[in-house]
Amino acid sequence: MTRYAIASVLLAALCLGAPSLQADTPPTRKIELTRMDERLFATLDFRDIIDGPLQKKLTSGLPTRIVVQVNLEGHNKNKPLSYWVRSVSIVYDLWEEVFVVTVEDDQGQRRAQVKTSGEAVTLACRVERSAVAQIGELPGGVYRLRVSVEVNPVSKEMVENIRRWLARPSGGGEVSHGSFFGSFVGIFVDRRIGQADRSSTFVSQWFRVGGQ
Amino acid sequence: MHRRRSSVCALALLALQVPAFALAQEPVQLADVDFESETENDGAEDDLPQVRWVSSPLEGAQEIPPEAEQSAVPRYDLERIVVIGNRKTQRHVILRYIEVSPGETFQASDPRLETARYRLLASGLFHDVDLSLARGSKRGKAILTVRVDERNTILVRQIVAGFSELTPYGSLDIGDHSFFGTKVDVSTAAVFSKKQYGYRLRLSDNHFLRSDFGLHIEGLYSHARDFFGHESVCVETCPAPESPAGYDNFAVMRYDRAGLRLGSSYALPAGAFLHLTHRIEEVSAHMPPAASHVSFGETRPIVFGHLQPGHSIVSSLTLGIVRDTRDNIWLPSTGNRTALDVEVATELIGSNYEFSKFTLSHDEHFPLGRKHSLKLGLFAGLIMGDAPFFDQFFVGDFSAFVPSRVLDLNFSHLQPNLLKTAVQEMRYEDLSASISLEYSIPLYRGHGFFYGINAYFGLGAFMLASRDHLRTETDRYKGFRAVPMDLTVDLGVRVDTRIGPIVFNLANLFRLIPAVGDRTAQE
Repeated sequence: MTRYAIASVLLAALCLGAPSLQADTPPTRKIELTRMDERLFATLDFRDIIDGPLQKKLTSGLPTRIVVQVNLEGHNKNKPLSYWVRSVSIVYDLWEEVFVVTVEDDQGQRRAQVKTSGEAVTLACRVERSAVAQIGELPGGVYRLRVSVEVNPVSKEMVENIRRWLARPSGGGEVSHGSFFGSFVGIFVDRRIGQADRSSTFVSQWFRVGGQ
Repeated sequence: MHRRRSSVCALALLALQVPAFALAQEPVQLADVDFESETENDGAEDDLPQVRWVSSPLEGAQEIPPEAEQSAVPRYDLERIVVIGNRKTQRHVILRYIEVSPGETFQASDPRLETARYRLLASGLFHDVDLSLARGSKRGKAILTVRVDERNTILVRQIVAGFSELTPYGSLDIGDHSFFGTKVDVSTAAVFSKKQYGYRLRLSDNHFLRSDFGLHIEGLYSHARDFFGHESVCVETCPAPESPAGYDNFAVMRYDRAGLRLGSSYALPAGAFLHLTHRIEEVSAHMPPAASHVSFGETRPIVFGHLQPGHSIVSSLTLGIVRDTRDNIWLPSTGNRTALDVEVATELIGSNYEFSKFTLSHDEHFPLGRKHSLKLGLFAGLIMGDAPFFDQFFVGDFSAFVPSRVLDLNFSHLQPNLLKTAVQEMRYEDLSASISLEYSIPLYRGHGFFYGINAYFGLGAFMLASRDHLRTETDRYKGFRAVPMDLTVDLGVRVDTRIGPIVFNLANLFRLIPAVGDRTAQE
């Protein structure tokens, strides 16, 4: 009887925990995956992250940065097994009327000029058959890719600075019971500050390596 | 039968533990592809634009000549800066945050432009800030447009409503953190109870005369009273003629305070801030000519908070440093905040009270699994000399079971006594230390009106003592009970909203219920 009670409690606890476990799993997108020379090649397309307002922002004359991170992860493994990152900057030249697209990844830096924002977005948000992981030494098993995309991510240094600007008002001493210098600015600041303009995470389908 | 049920349970557990894997499709086998010899066109590259890469894909970033790098990202001469959307905020206030000036040549990727946007957002004056460039009057020139979406800056900052065992009380703190659009913070607060009231007016400019120094001014006035004596209190005559028991519950001291604080702050590297404050106050105190109580089992005269009868002056200088690395001001999950303050009041600056006050606090936030977090809070304070009672450490500052002071006014004579130690004899004291643990669980995170909701449970221990009674063993307090310490617990919910933080806690809830007990005395 005691065992049933324990089992019931465990079951109930797991039932309560299950929704949050599922909520942490990002959506799955079918990604074209191939292997060559012990390397894993992926074709990614995340053009949908550039929505209407961001499309408009592309012509602001200021840079729009898109950073994609691809992690290889095994089943029930918390740590990524490999890590690949690509950063793309799009800047509209006001006088030449072209979009300057700069790509940086493990292949180095390269730059191109295109005439339309659609072309710029395609260059930035399509990864065509890129080697995203070494899989030659992996033990046989089931794996998948976790892809995180951020538009205009905020650097760690900038986040530190923002924190400093926000913290300033509370930097006062409590000479009475309540901060004398507490001008409460931090309270009214939108909590989104310090986050990317857009971010999206998705995972690939599971795929098998070795152990056939 | 039992075994079958157990198997069903085990299966159910397994299914719940690995929902993602169980729901996934059958893993696919990777295909080997030789890109060089591949002839079949799957059409994947059809919509890729035909481009000519300026530099080779295999060329390292460091190998690109500097002149090529400079020519690739557009450069402009800044013709002028246009500010749009500022109905209230003065233009010069916005321009203060922008480090590029007209006439300057800059690159489109200049980090100062991104910094300007975040500094404007961090000012708290705007919902949104958008920067963009447009063609100037001549080729190579550009106009920088700063479009701001202002937010309401007049807000209620704190509302307190409560009942103590003596009186109902309430306070309101309201302010404008950009007074007439100048980014100068002005606020006013008032507190009322049956026989006490207080006002405070604050003005704070973090960039006084556009410098990196802040100027902070505060005026304070209060008409108040406080309650002294522990048990068997006699005021003037003993036994008390009007009390059936022959004793009063406490002796009342009336006092008025009118003062001014003037301070400056300066930002140091690594997120630290330095501040210096001068405070000057006139205190007018009226206390009974004689009063006694039983304390530590002995009848002793009541010390009325070290205040001098009649008029006196408190004048002090406070130097402090604060370092704050928390990830969020109201719902932190990592980082820490450390504050050290030293206050000195001396005859040299016109004070009738000579004392030094040292306080050191440190809060460390530890992130745990599933976004839960644990806060360790440490505090230590020491006063040397005879500080007025309103500058001393008060039991309500540490115990959740005693109402905290509001604008320095106290509305309660309650004493905590969970551990039945000598702490029940302590109210306003010179030595204090506390340690607390608080476990936080995030319940909600969002970007709408509510930014986040955390449930929390806190447990703490504190020590509060006068130097004379740090460990005085008497018949009443022996062994560990001679150490004036107690426990405090609290449970509640913190809500971070667009208009400010709101806290609902069990301690506040208790205080909203009028106390029913043996303390029938009125304020």
